[in-house]
Amino acid sequence: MLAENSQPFDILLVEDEPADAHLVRSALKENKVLCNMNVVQDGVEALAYLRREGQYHDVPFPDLILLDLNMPRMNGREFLAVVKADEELKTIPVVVLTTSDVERDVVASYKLGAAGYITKPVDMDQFIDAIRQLDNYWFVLARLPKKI
Amino acid sequence: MNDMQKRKKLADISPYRMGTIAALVWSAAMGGFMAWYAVDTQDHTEQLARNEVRIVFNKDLSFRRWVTSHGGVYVPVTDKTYPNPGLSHLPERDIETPSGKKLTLMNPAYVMRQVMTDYSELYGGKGKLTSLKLINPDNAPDDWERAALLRFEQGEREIAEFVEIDGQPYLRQIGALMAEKGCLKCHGRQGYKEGDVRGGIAVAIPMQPHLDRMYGDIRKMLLPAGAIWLFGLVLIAMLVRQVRQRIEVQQSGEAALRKSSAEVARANADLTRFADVSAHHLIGPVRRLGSYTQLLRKELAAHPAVLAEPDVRETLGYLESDAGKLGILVRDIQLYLSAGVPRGELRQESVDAVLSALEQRLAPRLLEQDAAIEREPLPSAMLDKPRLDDLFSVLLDNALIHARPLDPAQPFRIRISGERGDGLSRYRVSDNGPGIRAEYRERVFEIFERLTAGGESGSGIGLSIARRIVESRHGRIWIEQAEQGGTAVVFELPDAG
Repeated sequence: MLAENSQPFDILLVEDEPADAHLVRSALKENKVLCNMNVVQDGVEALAYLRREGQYHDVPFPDLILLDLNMPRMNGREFLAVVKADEELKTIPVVVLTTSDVERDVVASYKLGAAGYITKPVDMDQFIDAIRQLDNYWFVLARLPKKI
Repeated sequence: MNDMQKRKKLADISPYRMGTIAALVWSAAMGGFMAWYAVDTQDHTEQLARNEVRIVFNKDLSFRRWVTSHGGVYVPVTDKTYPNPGLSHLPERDIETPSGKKLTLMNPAYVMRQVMTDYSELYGGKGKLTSLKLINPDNAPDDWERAALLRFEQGEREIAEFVEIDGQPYLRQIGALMAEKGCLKCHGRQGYKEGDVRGGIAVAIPMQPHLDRMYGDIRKMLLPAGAIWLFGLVLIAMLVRQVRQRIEVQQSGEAALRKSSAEVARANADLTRFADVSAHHLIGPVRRLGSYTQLLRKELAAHPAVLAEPDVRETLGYLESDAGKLGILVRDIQLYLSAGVPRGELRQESVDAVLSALEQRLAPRLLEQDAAIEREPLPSAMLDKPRLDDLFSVLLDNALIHARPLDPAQPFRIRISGERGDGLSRYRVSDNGPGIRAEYRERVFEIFERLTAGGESGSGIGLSIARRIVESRHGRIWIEQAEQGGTAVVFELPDAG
């Protein structure tokens, strides 16, 4: 099934904690998701990436953004608000990675236009499972609006 | 306005204002007393004067009547006492005693005039007989007497008034003089008949001595009254001072209390925030420690030889165990920190619904431990749903960790019951485990207090969380012995509060 969608997907992970970024990468690897994952440290960098500014002038446009909420400079909520207000960027699905199950974060994210959320792993197996479901939904079931 | 507000309103009035009001009231009272005293003294003085003028008047009247009753009296003619020309029509005005002594008839008016001339000091007041129809022009009425005589014609018989004569205060009294038989001897020719008002007998007493005495009396009272008034004012001033000092002491005490309680609150808020932030910062690393330990085991699965090494296996085991303990610890610390405040709407929540969801979550553990939860329909509880869930969650967790029956043959049972009390719901989570001895039943609510060493999956915070939740709603939580000899955690959640 995966073989049928052999075109690699581009994921942008916005995450300031390298250890968490590595866990996401491991979970993707564990699920054998065929994708390119690029990591940026915060919202400011992520916007630069999406707008292909400076060092990001020839990066691939992402099919999906995985977004951490707590980051320095521009946090996840601010970033989400900017993205959803931008005509060119607002079609990219954004899945929020939440640390705690503080409900208001989740509600606030949906209000700002997040496509979904994943709670960061307490249990690795659960996380791998969550990433698999994410992969199934976004890369297999729902065909994404293709890059511009 | 209720009593409390009234008292508050009263307390708001400054002691100075209260003192001023008290001084005014006191001054008014003293002023009122002095005014009453002056009026009373004046009444008294007037009464005395009236009595006195009446005595003089009656003396005058009786003397005249005596003279009249004898038809006049004969006295020797002297330089002072000459025959009355007004009586010249009487044939026997002048008579001689057998020895040749000359006597002349004195009529009452003549007698009285002489008494007044010679003995007026002794007599006590000026007496006068007057009439609108005169025989002797010397007896002509003055203005006041004339007015009184005219009033007699209207039927009045006696008039007493305080008036001035030549600028001096007098009490004057005039009484109607009726024509009697004796009078007609001289006055009959004026056309009077018996019973007619013939004139008036007037007396006057000087009021100055009375007034002097009255003012003296009032002046005498001024000193003691003034002293009492001043004493009262001083007393009020002292009271105001006392009250003000007390208020100051109280206020400074309150201010100090407010300040120190504000400091305590700030310190508490700082500490809570510190704990909050610490816990929050611990979450990430603790979570990743667990994840990476699991990841490591997954990676090592590809190298069974390495995983088979006892050292590696043991190290990995301890890593996983500690990661798990840390995770639970950080989770419980966060639960403890957030146990004091609602995390949702505070309303009557269905405990049955919360427990059903909880049982589903716990199903794997219950199965694993071969434990069963028995419960009956429970009353609803006044608590936000997240904390209601936390509350039962920590209690069931606690029971599953500590309450396994000592006898392995016994089935592990946790029983949840509840009832409505007076304005509250009461719940009881009991087990058939080893129970807790009475002396430890309070201690287990202390944070990190545990009765068993190295409990594998408890943080030692569970019951503290439960207590914090219940007490934040002004409820109570305690431990009793369960019917089956185990532990029963009982708690009450009031509807109000």
